[in-house]
Amino acid sequence: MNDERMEKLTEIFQTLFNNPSLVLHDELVASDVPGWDSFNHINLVVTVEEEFGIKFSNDEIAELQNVGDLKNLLGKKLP
Amino acid sequence: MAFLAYLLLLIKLPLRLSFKFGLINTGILTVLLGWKTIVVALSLAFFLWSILAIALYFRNQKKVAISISAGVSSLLLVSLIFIFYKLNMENNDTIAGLIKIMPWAPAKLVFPVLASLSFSYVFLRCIDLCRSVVWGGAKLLDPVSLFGYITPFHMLAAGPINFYEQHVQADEKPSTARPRFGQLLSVANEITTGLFYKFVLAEGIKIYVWGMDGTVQINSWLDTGFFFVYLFFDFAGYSKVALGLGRLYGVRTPENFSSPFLSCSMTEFWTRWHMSLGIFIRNNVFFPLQVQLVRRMGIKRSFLANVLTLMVSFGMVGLWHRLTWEFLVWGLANGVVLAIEKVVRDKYLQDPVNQNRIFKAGTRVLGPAYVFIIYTTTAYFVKDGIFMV
Repeated sequence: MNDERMEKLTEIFQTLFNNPSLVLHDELVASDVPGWDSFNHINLVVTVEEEFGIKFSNDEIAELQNVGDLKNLLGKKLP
Repeated sequence: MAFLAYLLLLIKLPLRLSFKFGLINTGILTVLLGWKTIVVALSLAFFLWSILAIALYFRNQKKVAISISAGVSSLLLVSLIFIFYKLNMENNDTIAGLIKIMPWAPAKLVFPVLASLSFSYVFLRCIDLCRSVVWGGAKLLDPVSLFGYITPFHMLAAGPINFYEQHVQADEKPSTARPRFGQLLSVANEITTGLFYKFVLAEGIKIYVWGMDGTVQINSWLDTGFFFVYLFFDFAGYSKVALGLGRLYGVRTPENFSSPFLSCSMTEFWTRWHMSLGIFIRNNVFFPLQVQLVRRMGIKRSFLANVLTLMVSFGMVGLWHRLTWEFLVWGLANGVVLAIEKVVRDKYLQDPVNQNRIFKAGTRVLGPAYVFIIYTTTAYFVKDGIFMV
């Protein structure tokens, strides 16, 4: 994943979880981030969908465990 | 019998694990429940398998509409059987009327079979199976293996609900090597702890509260408290034995309880109590519905979507337990509590002002007490039917 996309993804996380100092790494999971519950998980997914112009399937959403998974999935979907 | 199943699974045959387990499972269920029950159950499983095979056949022929219709009818079929099974459990008049209208329907044959299989759990496995095969791209196992997935003997009485894709995945990474000593110890640990929970702790509480020959019943609010502790050791005991056996066989058997009484909120409680049901509802109802709603309504109005999704998800949790108004209200009440907790969490608990140590320690102590009060109170209103799942 290139720097520009990573920056965009970081910005989405920072705005959504209201935490400007949040730094993303592959092993970052929901329990590490205050506010990342099942509701915000969907808000996160839909924001990523809108910002990157893609769509996730239900199975993909359920299988997303950490930021690394999200990056891999984005890598597969984006040219 | 459980040990015999393990020895049979150890025999090296050029067969998939799911097929070997399917065969052994059919044998064990025949001994436990009688061959007539198993013939009926196998026929039903074969019928479901045929519908799914039709769905896959037409998908390969690129006739998507027919494929999806077959998928939808498989879901409708198992849901209808589930509804009739539950109504029949309530001694509902609709069933008697229905049998009168449709005397050809094999109701007298099928209902006892469904009851002896604890169909509530089988139903959820069937739904996960249909969804994974028709919409999730999972492969369809043969009917015998499929029967092993939907009615695994060690998870039959009280779950947990295992997931189809994980069941299929176990074939790809079978543990052919002899298990190591440490693994056997963990298996023995789960099984003995489970038996201790069930036969010492749960039975001990039962005798202490309800007497030597007494039945578990709730007459007062205090009883509800005892009842919950009893239910935990009974249900978690079953789950632990199933988990231990599942590990022994190499058949994926999910964790079902994770110290639920330490939860600090009802939101957390539902991720620690009957976890396999929670995960099932989250993946099959909550996520798909919430995603659709948020995509349509936008993130700004996502709170409305949250409330709606919670109500539908927990309404279903209630109705899954029993198909009555009381249980629907019980489910919805849980949904309301979770919606309120969401507001409190977002507005107050995540506020940096409240992130100090005293506040956190306070929630650690007061949280479990709050949770205990909420679930005993909500359960008190459905006390009459809480055992019939």
